[in-house]
Amino acid sequence: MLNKAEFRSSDAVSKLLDKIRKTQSQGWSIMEICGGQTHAFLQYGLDQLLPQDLQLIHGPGCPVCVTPLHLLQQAIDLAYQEQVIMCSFGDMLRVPAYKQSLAQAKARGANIELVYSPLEAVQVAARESSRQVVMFAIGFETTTPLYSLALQQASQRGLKNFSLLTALVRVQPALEAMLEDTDCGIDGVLAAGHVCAVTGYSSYQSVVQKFNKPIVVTGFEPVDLLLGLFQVLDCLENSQASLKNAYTRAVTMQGNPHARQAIEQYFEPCDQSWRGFGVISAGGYRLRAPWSEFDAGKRFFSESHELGSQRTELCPASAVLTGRIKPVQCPYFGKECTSDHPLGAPMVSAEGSCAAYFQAGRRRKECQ
Amino acid sequence: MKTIQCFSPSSLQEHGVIELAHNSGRKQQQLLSEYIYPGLGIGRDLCHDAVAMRFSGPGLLVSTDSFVVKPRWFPGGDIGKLAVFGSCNDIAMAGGEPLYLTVALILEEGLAIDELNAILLSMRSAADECGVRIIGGDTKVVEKGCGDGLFINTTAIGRHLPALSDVHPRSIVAGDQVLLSGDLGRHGLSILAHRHGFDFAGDEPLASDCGSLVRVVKALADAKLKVHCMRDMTRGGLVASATELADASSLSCCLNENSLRVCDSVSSLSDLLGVDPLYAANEGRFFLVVAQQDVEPALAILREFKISRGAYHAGEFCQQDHVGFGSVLLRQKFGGERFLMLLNYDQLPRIC
Repeated sequence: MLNKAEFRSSDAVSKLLDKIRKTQSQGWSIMEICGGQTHAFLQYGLDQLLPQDLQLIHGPGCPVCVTPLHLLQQAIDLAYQEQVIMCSFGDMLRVPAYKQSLAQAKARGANIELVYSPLEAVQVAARESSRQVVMFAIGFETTTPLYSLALQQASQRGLKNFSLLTALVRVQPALEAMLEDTDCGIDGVLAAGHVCAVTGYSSYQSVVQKFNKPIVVTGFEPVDLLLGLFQVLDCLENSQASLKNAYTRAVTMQGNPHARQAIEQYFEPCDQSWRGFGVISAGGYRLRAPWSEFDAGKRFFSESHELGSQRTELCPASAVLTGRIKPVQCPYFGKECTSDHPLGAPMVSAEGSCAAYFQAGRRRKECQ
Repeated sequence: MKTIQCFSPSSLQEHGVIELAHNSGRKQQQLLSEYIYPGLGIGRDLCHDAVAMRFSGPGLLVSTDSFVVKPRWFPGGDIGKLAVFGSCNDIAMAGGEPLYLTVALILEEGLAIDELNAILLSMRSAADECGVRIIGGDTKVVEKGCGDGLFINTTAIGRHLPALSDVHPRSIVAGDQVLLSGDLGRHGLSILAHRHGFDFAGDEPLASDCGSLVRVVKALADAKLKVHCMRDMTRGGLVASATELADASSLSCCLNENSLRVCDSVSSLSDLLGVDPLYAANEGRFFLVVAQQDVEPALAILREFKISRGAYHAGEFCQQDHVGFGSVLLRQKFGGERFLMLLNYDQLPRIC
């Protein structure tokens, strides 16, 4: 049994902060990939306790934020069809598409069911045999094995009325795309612990070598975050581009073989449009050909959407997500763009970097 | 404590569910006379279109609230108990003592009469605990599909306790101290767990804190402490109450994260679902604002009652130095600060 208090101990936090201060000799910018980590940094106020020239760059790691608008609009359009029940995770419901959000569509009569797991959507399909049940499948590699399990169950139960509208994204190609941007200013990276728990982290070795930057697999509790930061900093100060694991209680080099196999069986990598970034090569998953009968895109839409056919948004998301500007430096932050009226990806869900700043009330202090 | 009798009237037994026919005529009479009146303990002498009440002394307080909670039964309570405690606690929070209660029921066709009866008995027991008399109300039946089983509206009527007649958000001054009557988030998280079938058995079973604040408030009044304001931390939790009081008093509310208490079950479930217990509903916890010199005496009184045994000092009100921005500041455990902002929406579990 894990003792949570151990990872939230004030004593351990102050010791790690001390080590960070003593180790650092110059300014560095370190990106945490995962929105959960961004949220935790702000929730615990850890970013305020770091040396001033140790910059955190808040990465793109929130699947809700990066889901392209045209896919969300497809989900809404489908939900208005009488024979369809659209199942969605809760935090996707509030994201505005072109005219309204799934939540607003629900209030206007669209058939939308909030689920906590794709397996619930399979149960809905079994219960509502005369209707088409579509799961709006968003998520990183952490959530993808659950969709595999849902497909396995639906297939075993012979459910012909179940399908997935997929907007699944892969972290590593997105990280590589950001590092390839020569303006990005990222010196080191905290890799997302939960994703690595599934995928393992051996594949990051090539990223470390290609870009000559350290990557440390990092968890989500205060002590985990600071340990990850310290290890990246230590590498940077010693000019080592290394791959390390600061989240050993959850992550192994090989990840979770069962979960990886589950992904592998049903999904294959594909080019994917990321909101705020554009198309990322191999940045997503699609259903493998033998399972294409479960593809809601093919079942309900005759023409597939052109990748990258999104409307241009005012939001300078890529500048925020690659650390060129802080959320509070965006001209729209807290004015035209609030968590109530997000203009772009990072403000969309609570784990987006702009939303995390907005919710922690960082406007005034940072602006002064 | 009174013993509650179980009713088993013969005329309704053959119809085990609420029907539209219970909206009028003989069936309505049967429902009222065999279930509603005896269930809630309403005397037959009150069967009139309105009821006369006698009052003497200080001002009258009225508070009304509607209850639509789903599920109707949850660990630690039920919709009936919640409906009685909810309105009575609102009177208590305004510095009053609730005396009378009206109950309006909206029943959906198909509701099991056994369940209705069990809820009525629970309401009566809760009313006894608050010391209020249920004096009347209304019963309507709606067609199947037009309600969610059972909705309840209650209106509590009470009088100001003289020692607490100044209790009001506008009475809060800079330097006042914030006491919280117990750990946070139990009701919200236990409803969320139960609603979605999370079978979460931690070291302490998770149950709603649903309870009456009437007696503890009366004890505060009897002790003649300088209570400046009280607020039950229901929907929106601690942050909503703190924000409302800070905004109404044009002050900042500064809370110490190290002081705030959340039990292990609530904390674990919150982590799992990605919700924040500081925003989760409570149904038996309140936010108490007292002058500095009354902190210890008030805590001593709170700790005498089971419902507020875990009371603690959590922060203070101070002059706003950041006009136009968040009014509730959390001094964080590790030394940082953050504002606690109201949420735009109810909390929903996040995807990862």
